[in-house]
Amino acid sequence: MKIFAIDTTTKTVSVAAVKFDERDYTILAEYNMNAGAPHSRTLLPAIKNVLTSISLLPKDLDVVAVSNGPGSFTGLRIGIAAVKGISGAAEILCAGVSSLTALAYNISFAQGVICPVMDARRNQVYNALFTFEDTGNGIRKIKRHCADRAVSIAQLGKELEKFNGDVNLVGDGAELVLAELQDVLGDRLKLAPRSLLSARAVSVAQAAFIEKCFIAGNELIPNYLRQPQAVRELQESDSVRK
Amino acid sequence: MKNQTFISHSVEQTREFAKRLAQELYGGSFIAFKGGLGAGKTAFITGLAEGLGIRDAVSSPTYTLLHHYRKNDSQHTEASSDLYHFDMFRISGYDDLESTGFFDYLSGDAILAVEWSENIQDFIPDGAIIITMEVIGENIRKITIKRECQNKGE
Repeated sequence: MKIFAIDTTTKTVSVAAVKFDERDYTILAEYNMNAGAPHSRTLLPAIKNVLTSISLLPKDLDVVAVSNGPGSFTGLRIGIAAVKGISGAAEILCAGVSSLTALAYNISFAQGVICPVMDARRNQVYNALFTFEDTGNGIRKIKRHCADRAVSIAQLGKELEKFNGDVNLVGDGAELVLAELQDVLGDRLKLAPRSLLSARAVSVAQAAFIEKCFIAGNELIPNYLRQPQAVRELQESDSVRK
Repeated sequence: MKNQTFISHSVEQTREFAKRLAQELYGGSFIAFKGGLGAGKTAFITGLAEGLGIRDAVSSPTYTLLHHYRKNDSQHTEASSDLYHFDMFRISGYDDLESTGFFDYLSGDAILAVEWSENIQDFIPDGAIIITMEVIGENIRKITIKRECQNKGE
């Protein structure tokens, strides 16, 4: 199965084409960029470059996947809109995966708690907790321990104190959390290797392949975790009308 | 940019003044507008865009919240920066503001121009240029420019 994946949930733009068979995968092409240019300018050329470099058209893909939250509102809208467009035009299915699940896949080899953290400002992070378990035939299976949430770093520290073993930090909030919780958790805190700290489209593809929730483009929706202004206004005007 | 006051007698004068002022702006500049309906904020921003060399058409983002004017399009040479034009009239609180993408653009090298900045007072960065526009007569506007310098003691 060929999965084309994108991630625009943080300042990084990541695009990848990955070929899966049941036990293994091959990265056909991968593109990661973090140079400050806005996603509105960089995403579509990146998608085009990756596909043309491996001579694929969208219709040659089986699924197009995207991390659909949490993350930057602007980034999410751009990524999801692009995937809806490709999915609809090429008539292929798409998949939305949690950006936190994808980050966990960056370090699926790690022992202990996998703790993806994305900077949500105001000393909060987007976070969920995972572990990976050996299944005996060389494949590690992901296990989720809580829903995606926005949480204060202090609160996260309190929760992590209750676990034993290592806490593996990954994501653009990792260094911030490491600094803030160093005193509380000490040596238990491990930072993912630098090359695996940021969001990667390859991990989005992995998550999509494992979850196998393939849907039509018009069913794909974002999961902001926080309410955008338009939704708040709509709810307020609905309650006024009632 | 020095503190100054300008009395404008027409939309054209407002635009010309803004066009000259644009020469002093650069990537990362933040302009916070204060002033009520009809004071000419969008006319001012039209002049700013022109002065920056931006060719995209400027219009009021009252319903769209944000307009992004590009520093270049495929046919023309570059202006120095993109311009993000916000209207915070309908914005109430941090979550609303975040959902406009405001914080994403704040850390980049674009120029931000924000109408109804009174609604996001707490989030105006240090060093912001505050432009107050008052209606003082039928076609007359008083435009006051002040640089915001807060010393945040720790």
